[in-house]
Amino acid sequence: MSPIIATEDLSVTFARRRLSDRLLGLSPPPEFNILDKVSVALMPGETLGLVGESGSGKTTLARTMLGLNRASEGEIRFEGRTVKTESDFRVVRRKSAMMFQDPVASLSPRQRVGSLLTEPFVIRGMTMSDRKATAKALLAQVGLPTSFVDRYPHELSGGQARRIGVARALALKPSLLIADEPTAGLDVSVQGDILNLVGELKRELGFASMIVTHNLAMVRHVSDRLAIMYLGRLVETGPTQDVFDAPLHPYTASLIKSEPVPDPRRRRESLAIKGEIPSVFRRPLGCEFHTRCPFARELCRTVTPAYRTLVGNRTVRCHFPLENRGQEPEVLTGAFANSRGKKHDQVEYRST
Amino acid sequence: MTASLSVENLSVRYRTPQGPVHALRHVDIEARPGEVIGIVGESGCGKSTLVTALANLLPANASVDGSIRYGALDLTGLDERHRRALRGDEIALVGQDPMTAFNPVLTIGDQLVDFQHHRKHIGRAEKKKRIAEMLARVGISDAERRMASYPHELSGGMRQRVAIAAALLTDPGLLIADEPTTALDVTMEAQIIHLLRELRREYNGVIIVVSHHLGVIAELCDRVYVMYAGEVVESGDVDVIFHDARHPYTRALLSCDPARFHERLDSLPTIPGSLPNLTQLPTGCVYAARCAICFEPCLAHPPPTVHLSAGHTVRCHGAGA
Repeated sequence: MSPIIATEDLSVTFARRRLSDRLLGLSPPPEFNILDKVSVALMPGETLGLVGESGSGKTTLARTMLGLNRASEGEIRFEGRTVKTESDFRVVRRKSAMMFQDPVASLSPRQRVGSLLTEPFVIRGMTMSDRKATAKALLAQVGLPTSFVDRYPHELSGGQARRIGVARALALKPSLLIADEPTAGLDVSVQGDILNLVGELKRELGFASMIVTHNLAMVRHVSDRLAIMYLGRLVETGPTQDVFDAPLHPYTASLIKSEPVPDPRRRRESLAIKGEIPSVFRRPLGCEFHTRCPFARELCRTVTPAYRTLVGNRTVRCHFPLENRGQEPEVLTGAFANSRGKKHDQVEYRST
Repeated sequence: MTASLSVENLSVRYRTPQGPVHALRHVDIEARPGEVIGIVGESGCGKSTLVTALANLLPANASVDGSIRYGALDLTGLDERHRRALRGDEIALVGQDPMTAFNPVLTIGDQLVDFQHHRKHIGRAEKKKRIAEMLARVGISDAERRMASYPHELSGGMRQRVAIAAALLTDPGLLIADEPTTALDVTMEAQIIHLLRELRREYNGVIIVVSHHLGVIAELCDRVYVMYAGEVVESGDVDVIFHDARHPYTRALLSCDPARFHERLDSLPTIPGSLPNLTQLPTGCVYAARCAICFEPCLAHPPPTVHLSAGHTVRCHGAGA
């Protein structure tokens, strides 16, 4: 089976243009990798959870896949065909849908729910026998009363606005749904509601979906596979349950351990991860996680780890994945052996 | 000053064109110095109204019944001048969004100096010294450099650390943290929780943590008040609330948290129904319409407050049975 959508070594670079550089006519502005060679594939009907902290590039990846940002390198394939030009992306966007982060802000405050729901049809130039009937059918599909067609977005609660977002995204029966933080800002009792709704519609309509989130507790219940991002790179991918049971990358492990446990008897005494995510403007040399990694060694500070595929459909980008912790790689037995446990005082950064 | 906080029978009503909104009803809260109190509940449960009432910041259309005693003072009866004197001196607030807590056009150092305006007897240099010490205490190592930065130059986690430092600079007897980690990533959230736990060891005042996140409450608090639709429906030690909850709402809320399940669930638990309208409250229990064990008296009479054991109270008709 071929994937619905796949990216191959996808990179996005942004130039940081300073006014002073432009006025002085200096050499072209420095470029920064927001995404660095990201390869993900989404099979039909599959749910992929894309996880990472703010600034890890997850939203940029989602937007780039639908052509809302331009890729500087790499390839995107949709249903087996390479997508390059704007008109290619228009085809992609017709068959895919995006649920944006802020549900109320993504609805125009001056349109009624009815016209918001039928907007996708109008944009795609599709005919509807009856606008109002179409809107009512969509409302019923997402479990809202049909009387909502005449409401304005400010008359909706957060959960209801989210349901309208689901209805709008799925109006044209897409084969791909990208949901950016679908539960941010929702109460736990409502969060389950929205995810169950997306799950039901998914079984009914059979689309593939990608859920972009930093909520690990939620994503483990709704995704088949996980992709963990850090500073614009994928650090680990694998089947959800396996990744939670035995994370391979130290970053994944510390993310899982950072999640507060709703049980006062199991309070965490120590911190799983210290420090903050570095800036893409000053990407550390070597493995970009070494500044926060509890297991970082000399090699990690100098050499960028390659992407490795392991058994069980898992990949990891780490010199010393957690599973193989016992086996010392050859390079370590020699010169680098003493440098373990050294403070990370002197971090070297990539020159720009 | 360290003093106990005692909220008794507090009710807050907002006058609106649609009629009065009964945002808080008969709330009792007890907090002793050195305790961390958790207030947990979902949107619309009255958390924010409670926080604004405690901080004496209620809008003009609010009317208050009951009392908020802090030491020998009744906060509800104070005039505006005395309220101002308390805020930013005895009572400090750490907000949800650390970006909007600071003035974007002043440096961190200048703002932290201003936060100490109540201390007229110490000079600017002395104030700067206190700031540097406090920033070090909240885990900011290069304090000198940070004091010269503007808020936008700091990350979210760093700003929240500065906000906590700002609150502690005033030596408050009552520190209110309103959703202190909601705007942060998990790794930053864990660090702020860790920081608050470290700080409470040397802090003798009352800390009130307001959150909708059960994990944060479980990690931080000694005692917990669960709120629903403007009422405290259950209160008790953190262990009792998380392991022996008696109110159907508390139980439902706990069971909705996906963090409790490690095996994949096909469908996530939810609480069916929605909050009652706070302008027209039901005659009986506010939770009756969504309650799984609702029986006749629940619809007819408001439930009594039942004291189950030391410090464990629940407002439910079914609790005595």
